Amino acid sequence: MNGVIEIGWLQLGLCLLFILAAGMASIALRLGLQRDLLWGTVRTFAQLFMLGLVLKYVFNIRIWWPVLLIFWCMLAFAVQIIHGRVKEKSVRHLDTTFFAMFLSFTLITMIINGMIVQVRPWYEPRYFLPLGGMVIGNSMNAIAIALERLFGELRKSKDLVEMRLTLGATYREASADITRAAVRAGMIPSINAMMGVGMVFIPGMMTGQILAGADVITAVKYQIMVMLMLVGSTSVGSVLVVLLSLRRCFTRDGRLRL
Amino acid sequence: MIELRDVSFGYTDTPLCVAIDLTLRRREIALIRGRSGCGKTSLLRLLSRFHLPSRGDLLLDGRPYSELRYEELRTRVIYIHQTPVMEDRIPVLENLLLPFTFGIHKIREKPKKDELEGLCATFHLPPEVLHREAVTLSVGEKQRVAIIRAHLLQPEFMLLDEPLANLDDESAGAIREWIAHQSHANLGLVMASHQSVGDLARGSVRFLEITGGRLYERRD
Repeated sequence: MNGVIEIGWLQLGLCLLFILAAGMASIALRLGLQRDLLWGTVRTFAQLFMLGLVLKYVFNIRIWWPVLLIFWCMLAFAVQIIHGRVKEKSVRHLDTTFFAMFLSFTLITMIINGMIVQVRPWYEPRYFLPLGGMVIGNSMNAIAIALERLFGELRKSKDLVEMRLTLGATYREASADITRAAVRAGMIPSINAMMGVGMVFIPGMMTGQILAGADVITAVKYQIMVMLMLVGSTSVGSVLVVLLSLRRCFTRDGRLRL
Repeated sequence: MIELRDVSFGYTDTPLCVAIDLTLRRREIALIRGRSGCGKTSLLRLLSRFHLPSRGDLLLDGRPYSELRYEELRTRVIYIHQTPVMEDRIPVLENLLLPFTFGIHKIREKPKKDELEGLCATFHLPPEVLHREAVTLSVGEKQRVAIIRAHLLQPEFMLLDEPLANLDDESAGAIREWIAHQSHANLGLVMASHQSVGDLARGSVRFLEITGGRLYERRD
């Protein structure tokens, strides 16, 4: 067997039975999820088919800058999601988040495509966008976790930080332990993922490649690369976002803003 | 010497205290009195730059606060919180040495054990206290450790916020005794207190009072 077995339209339609089952559960137990189920199903169909259409077109692009532009649009959406998730009003963090994500994710994606997979040309959209998308999608949580931890711990340990400041500490010295905790919090999930991978489930990307008829060992190599690349992007991203945002939490004359 | 020139402070819409002209010197003990909420704590925080004046200038030995690095300023003028803050999970000894890990104090020689034990004795603390986790200390013990911690950095001024409030007699006694000796030391003490500090060093204490949004000096 070579290639993928095609899913017929009728068969795809049969998948709606799953939704029907969920809907019945919602009605029977009065979960109030019917509307969300319906709307979610419609959106899934619409969004994915639209993506398919766009990709069909995008994968034929042979110029580098539109590919980067699309990548940065994806990035901008991720920044917006993260910014909405981190609820901190007293400290501005949109630009630091953007800068950290922009720099680390672009860098990692370029290294992966240009040096590791050695795609030629380096911006070949069939590789650049899915791999870049994995970097963004999987690492943006790390940024949010690191930021939330930073602001949360600073608020919680306000007195302690100020005490250190009263004794001549710089803002970095006064918050060294908090900085460490925040960066660690951002990095740990991707490190833990390396522990569990392959034991609990076959990762999505590998599943896809295997189904598409790729050699299993090739799929394994790709998956390893993805795991390591995520450690890289979460680390660089967490460090950058924490260091840049920490500065914002203090005034230039060493007062805590929170 | 700390100078305040036409200083006003407070919150954006409600000033707490206006038009303060004041000079604080080393070897002096200044006691700030006033009803609670009148701005005593804010004044102390202003002196250590944790609060900014809405108007006017502060100077340390003739140099404006804004020109001084904040680490340096806060080493020369040390503020001690009303409820002293410690690193709870580490021993008192390490709490006392904590500031010596900061860049600005790295050139200083760390105090020896005898010196630390001597200081404990001055404050009626047994030497064993150095090895207890800070979380096990009473408020009174913490207050004394906080003063020792500041003292080790040989500041020019120490700002004490209600140093005797809520303390047991023994702690309060030890701190009063130490304060009384400071008129001989090369240290300026500024204290906010709504209660009497006792019969310490008559004549060497300046009484400042905040009332009706103004600071007055009283001669009693």
